[in-house]
Amino acid sequence: MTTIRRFSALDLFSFNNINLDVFTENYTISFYLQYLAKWPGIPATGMTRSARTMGYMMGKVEGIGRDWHGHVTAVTVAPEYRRLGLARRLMALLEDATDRVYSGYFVDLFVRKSNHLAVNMYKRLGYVVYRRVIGYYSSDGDDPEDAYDMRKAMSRDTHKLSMIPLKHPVRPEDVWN
Amino acid sequence: MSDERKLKPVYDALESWSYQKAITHCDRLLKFEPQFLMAKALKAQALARLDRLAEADTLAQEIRAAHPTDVVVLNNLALLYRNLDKKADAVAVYEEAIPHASRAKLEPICIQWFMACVRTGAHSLQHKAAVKINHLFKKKQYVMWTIMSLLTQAYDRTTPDAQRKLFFTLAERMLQKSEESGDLDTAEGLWAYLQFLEEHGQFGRGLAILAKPRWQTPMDLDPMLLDRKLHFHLCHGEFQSARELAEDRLQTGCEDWQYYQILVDALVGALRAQLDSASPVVETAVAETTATWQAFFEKRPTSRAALLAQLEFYHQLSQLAQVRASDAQPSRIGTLIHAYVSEMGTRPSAFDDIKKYLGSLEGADREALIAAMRGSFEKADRQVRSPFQKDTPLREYLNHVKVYLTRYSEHDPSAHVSGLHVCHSLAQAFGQRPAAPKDGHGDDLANFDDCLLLAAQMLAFRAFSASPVDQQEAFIYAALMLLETGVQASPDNFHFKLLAVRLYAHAGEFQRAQSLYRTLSIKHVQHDTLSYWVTGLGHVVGHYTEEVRLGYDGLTIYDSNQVETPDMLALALRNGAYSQIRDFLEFQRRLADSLHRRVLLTTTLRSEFVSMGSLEDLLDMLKHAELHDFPYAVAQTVDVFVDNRDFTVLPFPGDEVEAATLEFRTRPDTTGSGAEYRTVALAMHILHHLACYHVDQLGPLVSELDSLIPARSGPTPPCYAGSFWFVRLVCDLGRVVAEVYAAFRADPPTAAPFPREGLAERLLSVLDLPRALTQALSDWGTQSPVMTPTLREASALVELCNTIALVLKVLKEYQPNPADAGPYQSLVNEFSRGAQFCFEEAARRCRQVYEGVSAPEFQARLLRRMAGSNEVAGILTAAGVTGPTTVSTHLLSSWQASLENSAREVERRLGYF
Repeated sequence: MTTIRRFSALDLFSFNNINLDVFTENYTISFYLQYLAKWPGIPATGMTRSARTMGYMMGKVEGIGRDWHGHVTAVTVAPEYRRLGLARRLMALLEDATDRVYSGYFVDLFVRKSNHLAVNMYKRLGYVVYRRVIGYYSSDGDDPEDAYDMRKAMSRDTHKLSMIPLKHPVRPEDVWN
Repeated sequence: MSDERKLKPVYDALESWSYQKAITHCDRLLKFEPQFLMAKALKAQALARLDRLAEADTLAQEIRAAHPTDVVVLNNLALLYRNLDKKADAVAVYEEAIPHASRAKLEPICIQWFMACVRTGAHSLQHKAAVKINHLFKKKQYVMWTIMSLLTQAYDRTTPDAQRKLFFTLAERMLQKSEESGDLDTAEGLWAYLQFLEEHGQFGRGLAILAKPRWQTPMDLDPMLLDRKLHFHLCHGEFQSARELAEDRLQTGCEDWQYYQILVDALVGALRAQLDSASPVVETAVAETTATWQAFFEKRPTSRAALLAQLEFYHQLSQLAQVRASDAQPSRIGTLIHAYVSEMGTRPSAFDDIKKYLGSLEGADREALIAAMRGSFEKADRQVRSPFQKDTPLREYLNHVKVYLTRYSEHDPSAHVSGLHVCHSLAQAFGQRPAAPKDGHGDDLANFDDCLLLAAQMLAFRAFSASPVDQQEAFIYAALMLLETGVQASPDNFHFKLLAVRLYAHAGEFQRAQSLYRTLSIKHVQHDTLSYWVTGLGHVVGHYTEEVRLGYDGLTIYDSNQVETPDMLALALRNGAYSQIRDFLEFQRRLADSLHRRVLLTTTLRSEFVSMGSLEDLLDMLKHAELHDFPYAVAQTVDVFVDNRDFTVLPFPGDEVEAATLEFRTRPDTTGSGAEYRTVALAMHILHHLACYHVDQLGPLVSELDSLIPARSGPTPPCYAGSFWFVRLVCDLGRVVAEVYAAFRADPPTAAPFPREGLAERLLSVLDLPRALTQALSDWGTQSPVMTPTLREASALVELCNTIALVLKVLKEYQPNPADAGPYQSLVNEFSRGAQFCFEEAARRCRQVYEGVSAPEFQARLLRRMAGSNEVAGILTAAGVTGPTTVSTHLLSSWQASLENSAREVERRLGYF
């Protein structure tokens, strides 16, 4: 019963059923609006027939040269709509846009190392762990947690060079620079 | 040395908030180079941040007098003016620079001028800037900026209708011309154009544009653009095309519901058109459509969406007046529902999916369905239990539990026992968690937090559906104990706090709720989440100061979101994200018009008034508040309350109260969310404020409320603002105030005679408050949902005394005409005597209540409640919660403080006499 459509600024008023979930990151309003203002064709949302938000995906394209790629910032589904394949559909949208619209080399994402469920889902979708980022997830009062940088090559990367895993973990500053 | 190097220490100082240091650096630079405008601009910024606003302003004027054309200097000046809240100056600095700028510098300055207009909401100037920049530099992007500026003015609600039409017409012409000339050459431009056409019902033109070859590539690249085309076909009545396109999408394996929905709508739409126009033999037309439908589905394997699409088709068919008589559809719907439940019943969203069609079932069909549903619950239950026994990874188990949780709490009350079994397992998992590793926060620990959180959530769900009150309390307290344990174990896990805030608020425990709420960051609270639960509660227990502080916190969140949105609007225009402009503007408007924001403002003002006890101060505050900040009644009000989260969709109905109607607000609530009662409580707020300020508007509003409320009957459900009767009482008081005002406040005095007789009767009826009070107190004891009856009584007493005090103040402060002074004074005296009696009664009762909940008695009662449920006690033991100490300490101290506060507030009112 899913309808996929572009994410709208007005969806920010009705996505609390998703964002107040334990596993979902919540950003500031300007963060979401920035994505819509810069990459309006990428963020998407799945709605039920009664227009309840089931899940959404925020993403972007960035990088220079062979690092030009799509990035999954958030893909999340409300608890009651999980196991319906919605996350897979939303991921496919970003991959399609990266591949066909923006001609990116790969799509990447960061996931908590401890989130085995998500890591396994991404593996099933064809992503591999490219590198481990030490202490990537840290905020006030939290102990830092490592992230996996996972990647999936797009058709432009014919030899799938972007997916060859690094041998050693990196620091967050290596990712940001 | 370059300017950048010279200024680096200044930037560093500003970034490290060392503003005085930044000023010193700037002064040093200006000593050698007195006309270094950038140093002056940065110095002005630093001065402003040190609150030396006048000096900053003077320096800014000095810079402007030098006619700067460096865009970085101008940007800094504009930023300074925005911080000084001088929006017009933030725009003017660029406008002034244009005549002095060289050709090379002109374009960046013009762009910044345009962006400054966007950021400050100067729509008309924004249009002017766009036209000028387009005229000077002739780029496609600037054409779109001009068009979007026209649309921005058209979407502005303050624009008069005639002008709005003009803006739409101009925008339409420009869009058409741009599309035809090829200036509109991006997918975003096309999206914006289609948005416009859809909004104005011009689906035919939209289809004509989409049929052009040059839009094929964008459509191939963006499947959602193709979806728009499909939608346009349907809306334009081209059912055959819509159907074919939807079928194509489904044939390619895309199983999105929207294509099924369009398929169904197209088939039924075509049938409806056929029936309306030619009136053929109904059975034939229906049979043909049904055959087409079946032919399509025979080719497809049974899938969830396909099955539901069939349900939707027959449901829509049964809604057609001509078809209803055929009597063939209900049983078919029944068969499909049974098929769906047996195939898909264990899916998390299964019952949400079919809810719409259940009404079509009758008799035996319904019973069979209930049996099938029960079967699927058992299946789900087995799924939930088995992985846990097999040591499935915890997260996976939790996922199962969440599915189950939704199921059991919403649809199957008989699952109570197994629900508690799951809850027990979760608590046990937490109780037996390994010790936290010394070197940091282990992976598993977070998982165990989830166990506790889910267990608490399940107990809370259970509480809301439990009766009698004792059992509710046992579950709520247990959930709170688990959450407090969680907060202690993982102080940074905000989810514990989010749930605890709600439960504490539900239990009437303001202090703990607000202390937890205040530890949450803006990121967790956003603009419309938990403050609703907390703000307002302080008022009823007399914690006015804290409530005011909380209210301002909430308003700050709205303000900061509103400040950020215009920047994003400018960013969208800069990046050519034209499809977003309309929604961004709407988003901004909804934040400003948010019902929740208005409630916050109203509540805060009211608390300020009550805590200060000064009508003059309140009037002063109200004069400075915008009229539309108060919650009037419109249709969406109930909807947003029903949604229970989204308080931000209330459009402002206009300045005429008569145009709004309370019918919507008092519409019976069929959702079980208590929306009706919250809205009635809101009416109470309005009455208070209108009584003070907009007295001429109070009359019709009160009459309408009065005519609606007595029509309601039946037992009074719980309401956060007190019983239904109490609200009625307040309305009576409001009516009295209105009439007193109407009679005495005519300026100049009208010829209408002062209705002394009638007014006296009404006042006398209000003087009967003590009897009514006794009745109310005896009612409240049995109506309290979770909050202890004693606390509720005390809260209500404070509320009641506030109301009477308000009336009394109004009466005392009014200076009647000399001719009316005598009778007026006697009425005031009479009212005062009655009110004093009422206050004494209230204070006596409040003190009695306060004394009745001494620490040992309260503690003992709490423990009795806890011990009342063995299941709950078992869950707590499993989680390792050793006793009700954590929560009971909070509850006892906080409730005692609340009661003491309430008693003090009531006694303070006695000082009026």
